[in-house]
Amino acid sequence: MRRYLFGAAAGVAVWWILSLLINSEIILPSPMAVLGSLNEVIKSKEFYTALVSTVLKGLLSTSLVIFIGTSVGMLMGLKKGLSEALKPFVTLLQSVPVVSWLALAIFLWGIGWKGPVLLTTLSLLPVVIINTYSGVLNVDTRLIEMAKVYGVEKKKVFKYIYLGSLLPFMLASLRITLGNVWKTVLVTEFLCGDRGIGVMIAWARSYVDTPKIFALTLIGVTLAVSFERAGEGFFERVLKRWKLS
Amino acid sequence: MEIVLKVENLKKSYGDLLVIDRLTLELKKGESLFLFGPSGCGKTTFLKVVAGLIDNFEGKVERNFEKIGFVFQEPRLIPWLTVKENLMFVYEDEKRVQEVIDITGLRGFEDSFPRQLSGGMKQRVNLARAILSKPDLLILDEPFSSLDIHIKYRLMKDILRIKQRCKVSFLGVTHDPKEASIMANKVVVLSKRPTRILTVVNVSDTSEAEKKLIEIALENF
Repeated sequence: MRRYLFGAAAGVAVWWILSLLINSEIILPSPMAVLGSLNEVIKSKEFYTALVSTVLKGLLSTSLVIFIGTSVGMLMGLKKGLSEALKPFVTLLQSVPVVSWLALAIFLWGIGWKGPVLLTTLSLLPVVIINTYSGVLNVDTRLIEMAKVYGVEKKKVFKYIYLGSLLPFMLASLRITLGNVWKTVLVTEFLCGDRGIGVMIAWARSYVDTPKIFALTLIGVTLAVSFERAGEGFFERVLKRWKLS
Repeated sequence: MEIVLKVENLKKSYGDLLVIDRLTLELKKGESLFLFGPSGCGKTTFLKVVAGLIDNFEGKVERNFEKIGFVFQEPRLIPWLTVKENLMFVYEDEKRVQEVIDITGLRGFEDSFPRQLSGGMKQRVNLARAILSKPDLLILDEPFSSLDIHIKYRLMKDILRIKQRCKVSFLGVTHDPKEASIMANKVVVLSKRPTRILTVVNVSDTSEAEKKLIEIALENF
């Protein structure tokens, strides 16, 4: 902890020295200016509305990514024909640039909350699909064969063999999603949102208010770290419950 | 005597590769029949056909048994379930599970996870799982191949004791002649791939000295 604090303090010191050397608030504002801006931001009512909006979008996108990604990945792993049919779509999803989806979202809904949720979901979905698919392929077929010999019902096989084998992959998916969802939401809000922290950054950019951009970025980072930390505790509890750690 | 399993002209190929070529044999109730042959000759494939895990083959397989137990070559235990949970996974009768835990010497290990058990203990769980349903036919797929000699003889002793107690028929495979002579009444000797029967040996043919040594090993190891 002491080293961590020392590292953070050293980072701030370097930042401060660089801001003195560059001497331009537009390019690199000083830590003091950013703190002042942060103070102003968290005092405003607008910020809390934006925060709630961003958090809701993040949580909705995470739920969609995990639900759709896990289901599609599982189906692809269980049905060979389906996996071959869906693989081109997953590759397409992976390679289509966000701006193309952006145009589609704006034509469909204009600016609002739906566009950022769609764009975030589509950006993170392929990783979860591929991760879950690999998890299903990783299931020990000898265990499935054993269950078949003893005539164990399919529901039990799914619960104890498939889900048990998939759990580490599902947790990894959740970890990846929670780690990336916030920056993706902020970018997509910036591009096609009507409210949220990303939209506040867009406004700050229009007013060339770099300290505010830095302050809002700090809030975004805090949001990501908090959710990742909360997720870590959850992962450890689940792994312990399943005796995998 | 009642016939538990009758196989006639069994032929099994994987693509162009003929693995089993016109295999015919029968297993009577209470009999212990072991297939003895070189590695890769299709012994495990034969067991999988009998267990119903492979169904695209030529020939006739008549199964006159209701319940089957399978002692796999490797234990095949679910890593995140305890010994007891692994047994309950295939047979949900707690009283019977406890009974089998006692029979197979697993008492005290019910709550252990597979990773906490030695190779011999894991094979014991494999055996326990196989006898849970009081099967008419117990299939043994080289269950001793990865065990050291002491544990091997101890497990053999346990299986023979179970055989006496439960009157179950055995169908096993091995590539160890000693193992075959201890476990079987009848040993079917198989050729290299494509597998055919070379000869059938009755175990009463085993030499007196060998019998004596085996008896000592089974009693003392």
